Amino acid sequence: MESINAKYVSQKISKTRWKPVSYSTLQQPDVFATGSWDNENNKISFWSIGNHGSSGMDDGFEGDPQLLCEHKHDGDVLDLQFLDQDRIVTASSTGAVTIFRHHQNSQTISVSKHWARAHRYPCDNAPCTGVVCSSPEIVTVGEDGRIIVFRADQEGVTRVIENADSSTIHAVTYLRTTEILTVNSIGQLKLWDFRQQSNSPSQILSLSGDRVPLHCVDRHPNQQHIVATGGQDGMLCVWDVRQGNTPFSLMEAHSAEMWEVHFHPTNPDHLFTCSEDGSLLHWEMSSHSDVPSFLQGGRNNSMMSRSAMAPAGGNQSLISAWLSGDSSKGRLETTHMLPSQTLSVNSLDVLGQCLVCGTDGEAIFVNRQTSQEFNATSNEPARHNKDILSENHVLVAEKDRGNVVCRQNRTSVEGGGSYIRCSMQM
Amino acid sequence: MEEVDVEPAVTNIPAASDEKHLGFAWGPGDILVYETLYKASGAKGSGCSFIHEVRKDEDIYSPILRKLFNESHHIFVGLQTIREDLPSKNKKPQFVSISKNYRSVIRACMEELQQVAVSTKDSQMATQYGNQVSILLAIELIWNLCEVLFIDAAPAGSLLLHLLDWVRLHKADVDEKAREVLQSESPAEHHDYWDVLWLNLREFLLLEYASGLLLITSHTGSEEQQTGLALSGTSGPDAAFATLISERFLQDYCARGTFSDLDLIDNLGPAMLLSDRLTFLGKYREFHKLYGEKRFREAAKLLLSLMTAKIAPRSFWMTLLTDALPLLEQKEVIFSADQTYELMFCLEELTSSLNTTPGPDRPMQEEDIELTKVELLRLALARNLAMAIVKEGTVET
Repeated sequence: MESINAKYVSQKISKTRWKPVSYSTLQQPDVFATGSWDNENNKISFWSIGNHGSSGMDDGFEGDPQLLCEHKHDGDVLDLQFLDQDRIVTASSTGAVTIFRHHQNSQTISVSKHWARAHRYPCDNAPCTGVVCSSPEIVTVGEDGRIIVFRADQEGVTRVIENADSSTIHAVTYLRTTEILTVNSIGQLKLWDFRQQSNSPSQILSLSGDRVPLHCVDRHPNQQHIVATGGQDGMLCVWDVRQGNTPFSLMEAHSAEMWEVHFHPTNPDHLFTCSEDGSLLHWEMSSHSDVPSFLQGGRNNSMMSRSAMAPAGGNQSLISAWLSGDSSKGRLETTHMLPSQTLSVNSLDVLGQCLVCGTDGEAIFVNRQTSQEFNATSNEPARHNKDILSENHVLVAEKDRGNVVCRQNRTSVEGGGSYIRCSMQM
Repeated sequence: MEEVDVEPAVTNIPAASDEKHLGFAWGPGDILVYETLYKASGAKGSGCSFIHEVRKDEDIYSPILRKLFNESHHIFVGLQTIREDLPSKNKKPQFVSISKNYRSVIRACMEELQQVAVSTKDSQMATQYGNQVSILLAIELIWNLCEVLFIDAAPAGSLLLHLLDWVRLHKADVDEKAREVLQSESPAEHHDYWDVLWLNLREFLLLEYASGLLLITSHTGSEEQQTGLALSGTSGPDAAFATLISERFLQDYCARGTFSDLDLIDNLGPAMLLSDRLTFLGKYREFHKLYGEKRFREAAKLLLSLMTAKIAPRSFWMTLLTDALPLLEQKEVIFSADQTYELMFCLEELTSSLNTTPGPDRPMQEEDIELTKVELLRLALARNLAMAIVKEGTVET
């Protein structure tokens, strides 16, 4: 059973993130943070959905996000990450990087650290566009094309990679503990190895053809060489950073810019994307021999299979199936997670059974799978089209009257021998 | 271009000195104003270093109203994407639910504003919030009405139910105001006097409209029951309402010669007792039924009693007497002598009252018809009387 709550919050939400939960306790996420943009006075806020009934949800009904506390934020919140249970790091349009501490007892927020003008041009501020952290290390990227490394416990900057990019770096993610991946506005993925002293990337990958700005990137939780990106054209690309410099598969996901892409952290068969076109898509990879196990058609699709806690090995085989041309057949299903179209969905985060997203319509949607009963053997016929993919055929998922349809597409061959090799072998 | 009805508001800029001119530039939601001294020629006066920003103090972007705007926009966008290929009767429940959605959003906003209005210490803000609440209340009221009349557009029976509900829901408001006005020393000068007069008139007009609808639309069995239910929900205004409906029915009968919606009247049940008019209607209908079943004696007796017991309104007597005509013209004597005397008495009563109000502007034709009718009746009554006397005087052998 699924429940979706919409909460109108009188601010355009630019970023939203779940507070991390300890996996060992199997707790469901309870608190999330949001950042706003396009306001005269922007702010960051902490909300609770009262999963454990601990926050005194007398007024709201179950699942309705309740505001815990908020704090003003200078500039648009362009990125937001949890450093640990109590602290978040924000990237601001003023170029500043700030650590805020959430005091849970008093429900107040204080500024723990502030690096003003971390990203800048010689005579002006440059927005800090992305932040990623692995406590106590914080890495930020900005419009000035710099990559900066901080430590949460130190005042100054640990390392700066000047001129990392001549264009705007839009997003950053960790590939390994010492490697990061950035995406920029000329459609390139760049790998940076911090063990090296040089200020140049160890690898550059890009889509040949049009140089479409890439807005977001996320790495597969278990397979560190698999990375998904999304860009201005709404295409979802899945890359294998070990091989070649072209994406392994390309899917038309959205009709406008894709703002964020996330693998589910513990069940990476599930991928989520959100876009300027007002939709949030849930992509579900499934592999089956005879009976479709994850096949649940229609809009109210279950988000998670029972194998949410399945051993990583099981998941691994699926993704490998993506890439290695395994003979086992698989299907890709996509469903809309939001009940109807909204203004731009700027941000999403998924953890456990819960999904949260924020929109330009000044609304926060929280989607929870409350029931554990996901019928793994459901034979319910899918209500949208699916195609079993064969070798060398491109899988194109496109929006068709509100459903995502997977169909075959012709491979396009660009002149001069370089072509977009889009194949999804399953 | 519309004429501006009111004088534009004047805003003084206190910091600007009197002697200077003001230059300005439009902004996205405000005006930037600066002091200057415009001279046709020659050097300008020393410039002022201040720029004043002027904007409306009504902040329509308050956080609470923002939620209203955003949520209603979302509903609106969702409305646009309703599938075109569904037949309209399938869309109606969707539209009703969307309408209710809008209304609940308005109500939620109202409640929040009300809370803030009550809790704020700033009296100016409290007034402003109060105003916003009133506006939203009015909007929701009107929307509710439109939903009942146009969107939900129930068949007349249940429509009446909905309208009655609406009236009851918002009656409390009206009653309170009315009480306030009446209790004040000179009600006519109470500032809410005209409001109350309108509000009551509004309800009256609404009920008029509803009863008209009832007559116009066609009925099925279940609907009468609903209307019957509506009518049987007794309370003050409903009795008046019931009278209104019955008047309509009767007028309709006079005009058309038949009853529409016979089943409705037949199934009035205990609701008949609501008002005299309704009782008459029921009884009259009974008369027609008896007539239809050829139980002429009983029908005749009932008809007479309607007049003599003063159940029938005077205006309807002519019709009743006209209804008696066929009974008078039968070969068989139906009305007894006594009954005929009573009928004659009724006729005389009626004609005398009619004569006292001559209508110079009544068209000649109408008067002729009326006179002819009376003559016919007199003749029929006389003949019947003769026959009745003869019959009653005759000893059955």
